[in-house]
Amino acid sequence: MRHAIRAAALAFLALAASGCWDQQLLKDERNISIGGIDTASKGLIRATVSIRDILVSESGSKDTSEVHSVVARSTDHARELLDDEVSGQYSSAKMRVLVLGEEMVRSRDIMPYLDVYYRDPRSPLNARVAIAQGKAEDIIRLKMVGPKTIGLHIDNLLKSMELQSQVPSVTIQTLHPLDRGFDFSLPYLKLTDGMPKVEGIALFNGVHMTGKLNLDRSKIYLLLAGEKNKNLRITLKIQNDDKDEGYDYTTIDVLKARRKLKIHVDKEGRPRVALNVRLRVSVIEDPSNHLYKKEVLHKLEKTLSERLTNEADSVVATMQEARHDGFGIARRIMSFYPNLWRKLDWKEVYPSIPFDVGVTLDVINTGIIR
Amino acid sequence: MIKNKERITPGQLMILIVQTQIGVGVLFLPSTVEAKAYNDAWIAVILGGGASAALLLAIWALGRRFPGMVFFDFLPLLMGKPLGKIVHTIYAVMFIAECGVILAQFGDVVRDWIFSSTPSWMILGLMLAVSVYMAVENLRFITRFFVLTFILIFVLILIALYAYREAEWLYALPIGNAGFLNILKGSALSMNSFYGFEILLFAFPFVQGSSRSVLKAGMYANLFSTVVYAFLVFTCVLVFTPLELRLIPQPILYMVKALSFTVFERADLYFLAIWTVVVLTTVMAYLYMAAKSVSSLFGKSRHAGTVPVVAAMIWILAIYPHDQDMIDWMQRIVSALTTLTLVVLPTLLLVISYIRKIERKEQVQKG
Repeated sequence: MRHAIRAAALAFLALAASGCWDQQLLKDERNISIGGIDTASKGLIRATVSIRDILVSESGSKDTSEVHSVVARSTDHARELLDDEVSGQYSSAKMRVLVLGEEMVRSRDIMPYLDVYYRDPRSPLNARVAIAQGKAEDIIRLKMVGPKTIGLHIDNLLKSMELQSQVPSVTIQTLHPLDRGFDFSLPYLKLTDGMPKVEGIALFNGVHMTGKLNLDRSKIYLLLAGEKNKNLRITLKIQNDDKDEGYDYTTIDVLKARRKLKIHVDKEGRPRVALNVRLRVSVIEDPSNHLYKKEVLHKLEKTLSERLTNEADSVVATMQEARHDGFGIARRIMSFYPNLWRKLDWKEVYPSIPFDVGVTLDVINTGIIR
Repeated sequence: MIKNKERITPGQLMILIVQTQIGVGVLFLPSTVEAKAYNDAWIAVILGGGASAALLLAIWALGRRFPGMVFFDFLPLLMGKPLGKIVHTIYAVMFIAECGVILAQFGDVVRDWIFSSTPSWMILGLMLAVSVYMAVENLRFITRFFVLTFILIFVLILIALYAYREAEWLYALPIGNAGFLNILKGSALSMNSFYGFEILLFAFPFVQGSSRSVLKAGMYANLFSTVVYAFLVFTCVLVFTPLELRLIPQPILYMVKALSFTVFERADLYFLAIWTVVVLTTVMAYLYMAAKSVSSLFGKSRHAGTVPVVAAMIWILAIYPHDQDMIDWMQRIVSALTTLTLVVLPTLLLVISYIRKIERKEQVQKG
């Protein structure tokens, strides 16, 4: 009897204690995989989302994508309107990519539209962020690329680009640009012949996009920023052969990159940046040289490092022109020269800070031939 | 007399103190201290740990002079009967209020992060029900449970370690930027998280071994908590800029939220699940102390019957505040109470004890 009462009490507790106030069933939820924000007239925004669905039939399962687009006052207002449009409970918890239209980031402050992502505990803070040339809506409207839904496709695309150190890896969380002392840059997507492609990176000054770099130069940018990921390959033109252009190019694979960033302040309180990158590379492709001779190898090293230094100089010039402080020079001055920082008018000073950039490199292997 | 089966070892005492100290503060500490001490918050926390070591020393010195006696047994000897009763009541109120505030903060975090629509009376009721189950037992049972769950603190550290992937060492520089005064203000704020060492007031006579070993256990416990706190605060300083930390009340959760492992996402939920147990141990300890002080106030030797009554009071106190202002207001009152009972009074009592040479003469037993 005693046991029966105990068991009954336990069963009651188990039922009562596991309340259903907060249950959210997956079968009722419609998860979006990619979202886009564009400008609309009168200060409104156009939000576009793609919802991923899986159709299960006798021949197996198939991914489908459903696109909705609304004009709204704010991001959460857009959620509300979208929820009215889609069947089931709208949820952005599993969003993988957030695409922002170029006009949006050039003309408006995007931070108000991201606020809800930082505030909501279920928000996808680790979603990747990218910029779309033209409108984000156009990319999301593609629905499918090959067998994959657009959300999955863009996410995988960005991920592999990150691994090859072609674009920086940025999520909504790491975007939060409060007082960090450096500016962020984002992958720049472009629609070419119905295919979304990463064109390069968009450079930001604060919350506004102010410039861009193409893919070749974004690799140099990441090298200089000390953000080399798993792989990084660069193809450079090292000579000018009039007869046969095939011999002009050399491809190197960067195995190891060591970056040194130092800030020197002279007596008048003018900062000067010394940025040195030392690379250990392996030669992947080099049709013109046969590297069994030491002198030829050293000459190649010299040419390559000159080329890279030139490229680096021009990347830095572009950055300064865009007033984009991607290397965190401001943060370093805040940390190492707090007194100087209080006196500096950073927005004025940054574009004219002299950079001494140097790239040196060692070839450590050349494949299975020399 | 203290029965043999209620005794605990110095090692168990150490874990008892650590588990009582480390609680809700883990989540709130970084941003509260940072609000005053900026990127030197971790220095402030270390200073706070030093201050709490001094207070622990005072409590130990007091307990040493009255071997075999619990705090409330020798309180009337030092202050006289009527005054002793008043001070005793203040202590009882402090334990109940502190426990209420801990639970109110806990309820807030759970509402904000996981269960947004589950009413807090339910969650806090469940927490207290489990705590009552444990707190009616004697100190040895409670300590054993604390030892069992001690390992979870290391799991929390492990999860937090992963945040170093996004750490930016430059945020910690320049060291000493906040200025000495602000660092001191910060460490005053951090003291709230170090409270819990007062469990020594109750545990002292139960510990086997010399009073030296008690002191050693207490100091190691305090050192452990200080290191854990300083590590977590330092991690937050490296991950967030000062401005961001001001906006984020629970930065540790926030930084682990975005971590995504191959198999699972939302590391903050794992962190919270473990943290709940860490808070639970603190609630148990405070419930035990509150029940002990209330029952001895009414001259009862057993505290088991008092526990549910005290728990009900704590429950009402914890579900009463419904916005941040009220929690802040409660916290201010509790801070005043804890400062009085844990900083001013122990020092005062120690001074009285030394000046009037009051101590328990006969040694009950040694070793």
